[in-house]
Amino acid sequence: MAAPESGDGNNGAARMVTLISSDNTRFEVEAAAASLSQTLQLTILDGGGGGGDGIPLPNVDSATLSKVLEYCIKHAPAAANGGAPNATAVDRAELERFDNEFVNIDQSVLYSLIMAAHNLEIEGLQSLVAKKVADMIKGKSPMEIRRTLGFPDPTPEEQAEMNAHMLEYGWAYE
Amino acid sequence: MPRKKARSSSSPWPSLPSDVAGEVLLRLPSYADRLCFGAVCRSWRAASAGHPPRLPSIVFIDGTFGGGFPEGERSFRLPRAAGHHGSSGAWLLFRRHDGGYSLLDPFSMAAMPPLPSLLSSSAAAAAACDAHNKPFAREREREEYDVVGLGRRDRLEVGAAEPDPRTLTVRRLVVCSAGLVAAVVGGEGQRLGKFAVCRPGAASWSVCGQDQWRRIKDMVMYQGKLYAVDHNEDLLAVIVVDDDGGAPPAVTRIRRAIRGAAPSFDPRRRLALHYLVDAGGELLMVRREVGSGRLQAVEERFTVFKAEFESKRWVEVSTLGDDGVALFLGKWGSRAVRAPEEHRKEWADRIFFLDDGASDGFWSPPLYALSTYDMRRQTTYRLLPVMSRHGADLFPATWIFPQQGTRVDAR
Repeated sequence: MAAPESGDGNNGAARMVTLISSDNTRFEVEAAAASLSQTLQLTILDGGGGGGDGIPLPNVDSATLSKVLEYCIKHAPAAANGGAPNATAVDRAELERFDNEFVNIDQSVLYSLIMAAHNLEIEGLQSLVAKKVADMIKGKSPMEIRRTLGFPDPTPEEQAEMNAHMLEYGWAYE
Repeated sequence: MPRKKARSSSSPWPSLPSDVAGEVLLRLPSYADRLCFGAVCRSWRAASAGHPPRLPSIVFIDGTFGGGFPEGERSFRLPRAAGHHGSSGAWLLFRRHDGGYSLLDPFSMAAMPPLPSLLSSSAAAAAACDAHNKPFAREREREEYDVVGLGRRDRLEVGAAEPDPRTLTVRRLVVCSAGLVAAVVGGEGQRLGKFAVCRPGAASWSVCGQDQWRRIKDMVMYQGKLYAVDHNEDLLAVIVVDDDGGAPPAVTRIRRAIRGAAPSFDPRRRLALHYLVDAGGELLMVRREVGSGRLQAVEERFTVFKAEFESKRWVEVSTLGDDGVALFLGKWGSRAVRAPEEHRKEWADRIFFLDDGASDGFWSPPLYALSTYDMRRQTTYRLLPVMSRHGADLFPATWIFPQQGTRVDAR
């Protein structure tokens, strides 16, 4: 089952689009994969991104974009099948394995990814990274969360606000 | 596993926009984690506002919360939750100095108009109850066996003492709507109870004066109707008339929807506790058998039934389904909860239950506040020992089921 191609008479060959990162690197990718992004999908449906034009993405650098596209290419076939109702358990397990590996990365990359997923509106990726970050936070105190994510040590003012937040909700550490 | 601790101030995370932070927050189901998340920085605080937790929390009587449920490694104290009398869904129930009750949502801080004292159930309310009942008293003659109330004394335990009206207290509370609450009321530490209803803010309850005292084991709202289960495992439909006009609401009739077939066992050895749970499309009854008195070592047994209204039978079920549904049982109310993704496997067919003195008599203080029963392995695991602090027992605990929780909704 093929995704509907907007026809330039090129039946058979998948339609390609070009994406341009903030540092001017050009990525050529199948339209179906790029269309996992709600934002890009609109442009692509309008016929954009083809030929020599390319779609500029001023908020996404090339390192992040290549990572984002790695995700999109992997997930595009399942997405084209409408959430893959007929995907086999093996396919699903394979995607799950991919996802787990995919977010097993440095926090600064995670940050770029969650921002890119947010800006490009790639729902699955947004959810995947948010869950990964949530897992890193679970069971930690506010200070531990700050340290885990590399926040600078709180100023006395910030420390007071942190304590006030706990108190505001009536909570005391035991 | 590449993992670097970015300790420098070059970390991008402090500038995470509030709406993206919100995406992360939504994936933290427990209260403790959401609270800590909100304390991290201003922007995260903004993101956490207005997002109550999704999972049930355990509240002990000194206000200690088991917020990181079910791990329970950390506990928090919420002083304003201390001294609660019970709970109902997302509400904590407090008994006031004047004998009345108040309901507080400890997450949103919303409060309900106060509930009246049971001791002041006025003559007017009793009259209203009677006035409602009169037409039904006549009609009752024509009904079949399934009308078990009001007024007829059937299968009441011999020798069970009726409570002194001056000691009446709320033992189970169901918030039916913003304008109606229903309760099982009874004497402190006694077995027998009656149904009572009132509007929050009203001056008095209408206690169902004409109905007999019953051993009411649990009460629940299911598909907009009120049901109770008694010691015979009869499922009783409790019919409440609540006119929009000035008349106070009243229980007007009690119909037997299912005739139970409780097994008989030696009450000196075994006790049965019963819980009703709205599991979305099904009304479930859980029979929990425990060792009585000094025989606590007797293996605990759980049997789950679903109500079959057509055939008026309880039908035993061996599983709660494939999608990770767990039951949370407590004497102040129980719930079926669909496990969050990450707990789906381990929560499937699990029954989390409080040892909260739910039995009506012969109960020795338990050693564990929270345990879980695995329906598949038919095994009980103890999770949280009963705690004491400054020499005072924190037992019993009750559940708080957050308003927008992961309850199993009707399909």
